[in-house]
Amino acid sequence: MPMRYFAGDSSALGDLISILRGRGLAVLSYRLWGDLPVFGEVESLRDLSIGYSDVQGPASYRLVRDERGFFRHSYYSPKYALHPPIQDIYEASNGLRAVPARVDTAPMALFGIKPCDLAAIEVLDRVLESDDFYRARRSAVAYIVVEECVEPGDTCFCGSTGTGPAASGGFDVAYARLEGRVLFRAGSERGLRLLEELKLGEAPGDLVERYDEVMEEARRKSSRLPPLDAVIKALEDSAASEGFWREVSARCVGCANCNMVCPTCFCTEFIDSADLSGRARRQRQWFGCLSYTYGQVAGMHFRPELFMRYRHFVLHKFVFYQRQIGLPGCVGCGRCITWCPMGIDLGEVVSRVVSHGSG
Amino acid sequence: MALGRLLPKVGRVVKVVDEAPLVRTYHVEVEEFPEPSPGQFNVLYAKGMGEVVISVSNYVAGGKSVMEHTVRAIGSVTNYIYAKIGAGDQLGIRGPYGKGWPIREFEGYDVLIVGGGIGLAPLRPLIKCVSEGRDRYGRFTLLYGARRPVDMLYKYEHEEYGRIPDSTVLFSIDAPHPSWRGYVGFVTDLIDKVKLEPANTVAFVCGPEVMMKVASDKLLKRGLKADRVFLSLERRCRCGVGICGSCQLGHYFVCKDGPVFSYQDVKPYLAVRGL
Repeated sequence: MPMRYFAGDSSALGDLISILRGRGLAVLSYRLWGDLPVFGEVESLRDLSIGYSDVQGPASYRLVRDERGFFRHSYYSPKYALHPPIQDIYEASNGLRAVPARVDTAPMALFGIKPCDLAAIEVLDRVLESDDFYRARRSAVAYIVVEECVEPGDTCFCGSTGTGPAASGGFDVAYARLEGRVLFRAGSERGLRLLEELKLGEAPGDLVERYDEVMEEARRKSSRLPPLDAVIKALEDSAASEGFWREVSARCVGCANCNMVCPTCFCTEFIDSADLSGRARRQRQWFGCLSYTYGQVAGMHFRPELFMRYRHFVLHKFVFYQRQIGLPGCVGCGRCITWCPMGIDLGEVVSRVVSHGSG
Repeated sequence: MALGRLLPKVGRVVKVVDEAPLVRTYHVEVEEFPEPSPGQFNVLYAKGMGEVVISVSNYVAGGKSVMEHTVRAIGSVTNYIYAKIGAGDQLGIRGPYGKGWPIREFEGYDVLIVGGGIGLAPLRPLIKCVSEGRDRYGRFTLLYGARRPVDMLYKYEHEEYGRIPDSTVLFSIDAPHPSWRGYVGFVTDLIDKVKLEPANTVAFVCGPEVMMKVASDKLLKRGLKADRVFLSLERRCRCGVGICGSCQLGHYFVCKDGPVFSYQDVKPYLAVRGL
């Protein structure tokens, strides 16, 4: 069956939010909270960050008011909703009898998420397959609506990782905003039913043609890396080249910002606390491989030098994830470049290892 | 949704054995606990302090099973346990986790065990397995070394090890000591001193990582294949079930894919410093 495209204007997005809310779902999207771009619940079209543009570069993020602008993302990704930064695990107040924490499983819809973040959810789905807490939150997601990236940012490279700028699967509805018009398509039966409820007309041929052109251009713009196979091969060969890894990580300060903003970084550390009443609490919190303690055990350290931890970050994203879950762990969102306080460009590092080798 | 996977059961310490300076074995009794296979580990929880991953060094079945955990006081949780937990006290416990030694797959083979220091703990169930099923295995060789005589674990069992039929049991310490009449030097030196039939031998090794690498390379030189040499690795292990990510070594989760690996599977990763 050929793909069916539907056309509307931005009010259709507002209608879609209303329909989802009408089904009792919390609709979560990138939104502005004051002037902070976060990921949280939206109630109407007004809450979406339409009319703003994010200008991203190495170690640089600016949010600008721009009616014709395109908002991509900020440091928040859907990971905040599915695998929260801090999570209660259990509490023991009566001796050692531990009571598991409750997980909020109120049904939700992810709305307007970008294709890179959609791809990141697939990575998390696979790597956290046996994590009950993740699965509880994930199964509360009733719908995923994706906004396709008509205008990739300067740090983006989803075209290279094959995770954007268009959505390829695992969503219910995808839409693209094109010069005042919105082109919709369904990714699932449920998504198609949602679109039918919107009572949109079939998209005219010239709009679909324009969509194809825009996405092709976006793909070209977001493909600044060498081919992924070449990246993986070159990185595999680089593992033992200490000099190379010392050099590319020379400016790294080990702050782990890259881990925190990465939509696929999933590592957690446990935190124990106790109070005078005899109550003990166990929580887990995001934990980044760039942090000093990553790899440290009592009495020794398996990655004592910063270059080793930086190397683990890069090799894991491109080489080890592939072996763990059959997918690359980097989705090309560029957040680690934007939010690195030193502006270290992951895209540049992997391009360099392909063009110059690691010797 | 079951969120109970990371919840400990309540265990009761029924006995504590002093093994070596700062090392004690905690016998923990717990109801309805799955039987660990040799080389698997449990996660012990000291209330409010945190958890620590400890291999099971012995298992005694029963309505309430008892598992032994040899703990060295070296980090915050282990120091707390060493200082505060005695017979009659409770410890949280969950497990058993990980892939243990593939001992059942090697029935009929000669078994060689090489242990260093506290690394004997996860190997101890193997010794029991061979000794109790003596006719299922060929020649048995145990090489165990520690820094000083006093640092050796399970000294009260060493004579028993020596009485296992058709076996060679050799001990070493790192530096001369007036009370010591055995070998002085690295335990890996002993590999050169024993008779091996490489084609029919499986080796199980645990100790400091550098010792395991030296032992494995020596065994390869003696003609063993890398897929017949097994090591039990240590990493920063937290959850024990492959979700917290802290124990990753290359693409492996040491807690879930290990802690026991064939040398063949981890050799490329172990060869790179700090990978």
